Amino acid sequence: MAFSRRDIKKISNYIWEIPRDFKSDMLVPGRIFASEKIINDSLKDESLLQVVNVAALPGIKDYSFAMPDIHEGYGFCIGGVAAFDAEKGIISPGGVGFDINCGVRLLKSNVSFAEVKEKIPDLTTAIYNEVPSGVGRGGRLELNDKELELVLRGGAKRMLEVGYGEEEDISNCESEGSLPDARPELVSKTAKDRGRGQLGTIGAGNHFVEVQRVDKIFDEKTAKKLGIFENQVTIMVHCGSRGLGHQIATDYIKIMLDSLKKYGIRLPDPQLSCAPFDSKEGKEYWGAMSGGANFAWANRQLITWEIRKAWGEVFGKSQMASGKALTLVYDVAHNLAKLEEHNGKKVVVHRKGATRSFPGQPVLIPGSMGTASYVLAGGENSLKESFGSSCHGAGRLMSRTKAKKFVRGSTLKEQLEKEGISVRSGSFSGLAEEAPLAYKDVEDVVEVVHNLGLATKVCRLKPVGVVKG
Amino acid sequence: MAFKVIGHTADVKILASGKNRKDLFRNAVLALASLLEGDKKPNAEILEEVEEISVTAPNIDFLLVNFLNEILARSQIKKKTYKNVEFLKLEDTFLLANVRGVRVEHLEKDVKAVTYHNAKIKKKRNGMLEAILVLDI
Repeated sequence: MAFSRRDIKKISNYIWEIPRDFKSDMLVPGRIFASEKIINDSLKDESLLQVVNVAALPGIKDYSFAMPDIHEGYGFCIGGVAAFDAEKGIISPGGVGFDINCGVRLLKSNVSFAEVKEKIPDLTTAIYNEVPSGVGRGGRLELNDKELELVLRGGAKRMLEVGYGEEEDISNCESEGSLPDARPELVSKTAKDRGRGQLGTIGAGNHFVEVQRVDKIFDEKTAKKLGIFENQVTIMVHCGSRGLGHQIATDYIKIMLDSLKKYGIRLPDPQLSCAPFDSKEGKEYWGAMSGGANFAWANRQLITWEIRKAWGEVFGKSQMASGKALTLVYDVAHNLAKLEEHNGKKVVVHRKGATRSFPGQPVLIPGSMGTASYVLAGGENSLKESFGSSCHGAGRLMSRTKAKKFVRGSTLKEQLEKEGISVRSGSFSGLAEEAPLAYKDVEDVVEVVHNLGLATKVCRLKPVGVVKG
Repeated sequence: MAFKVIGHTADVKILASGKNRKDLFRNAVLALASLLEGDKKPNAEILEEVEEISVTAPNIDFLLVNFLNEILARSQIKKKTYKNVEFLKLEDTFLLANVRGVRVEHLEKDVKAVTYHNAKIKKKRNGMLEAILVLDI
């Protein structure tokens, strides 16, 4: 099914709609938050068709949404948001993504870039050495079944219990780093075996640890409240639940495909595999997904400890190297389903490549490699317009194989280092795949959510050191 | 051409072909191995012990996806890439195979899963079977 601009109705400068009568099985319209340029780009892949397909899922409320970093995924598009009635609607692993609780956390230091500029290359190298990246480079912990169960139940809190964090790491984390309904017994042995050696690792692809400086402050009051000042050194982490989460998704997509007939659900796309939230399969996925989410938060917590260790190695036993040198601003998930109450109704909000942005809550948007990232604050309009959701990043424009035809990893590294960005990466090929030209301009994406009041700009962060797998 | 890696906006696609189902499935396994290894081919291709795999699915297209996901999980858990496949049974909804892998130090690609997205085995005019699979990386 091909889309043309004629199929999309412009509601306002940044809101576009695919009418419900576009396709007979749509239960709600599609609603895309985008600029003119982003909408035109979205016509080049299947992302709009994916918005249409999600609109046909049982129990969907209001709209099938897409954020301005929309691009083609499978099942849901990346940037897809949909809320389903908790009693009558479905839950779909495809609406969460394979990387359950892929997310971002931001740490802040108490130093300015000028104070430590000469040490940034060393810091980047130390982080590269302490935080395993790439594939096959295992973590420092190899968890047995009992230890893994405790992580799946406790998430970031568990890491605190065993000495890998501070109290404010929990209070400044979405959901305090742990979902309460986790059921480790519903996570398969294969998932556990994929993940048990991967805690404290970032993996590869578009995951990273980035040393940054605060380049510009847009909202002085909120920045001050978050403890952010201009030219401050910050560190951002982007990663998820590793092989454990990926396997949970694979397992439950298969389980739910097998049970579709039982619930009379017909799908336009098998990756939209789903089951009623209030069914055996739905509840079991919810329990396993929650465990996967907790693993991801535990992962980012252990990585935080590793980064703090690297920081201490570089800055020595000075005030900068104290335990309080790096503190957590916030941690957000951008691949997750959450049970929330909106307009007095309990709904299961699926955010796949989208971030929760409740009013006042920090929203962390990583840019593509070498470009800016943003801290925003959840906007007043987000609950009204998007079930409290915002974008998650820049969004890809170009495939990995195509990016490698335009860019050589070694050349890109040289170019970034000429721009003052230290790069440590295990793979030149992986670096090329993540070249900035493969992504939308994050500024375009952020302008949309800012102008719509879904999330408003607090500050911009520029990279000075990048660690990738 | 037995297999090829091609582009997809967010992830990657592999194209596998074969003169019959066994050939197609075998080449899809080799495509996955090639993707996982990337430029980091193992120095010596010493096949390790035989592992038995059984997989079910509602149809042959999903059977291929489920089989590759089983191979993927084993690759990551056991740090191997699988190159040798002997099918004991390959029906529409069930597969039983012996596979042998090669130990690797590193995998190049962090493949999350083989997806069902547009997964379809097609017969070309020349009689060859072909499948294009989208992988989440």
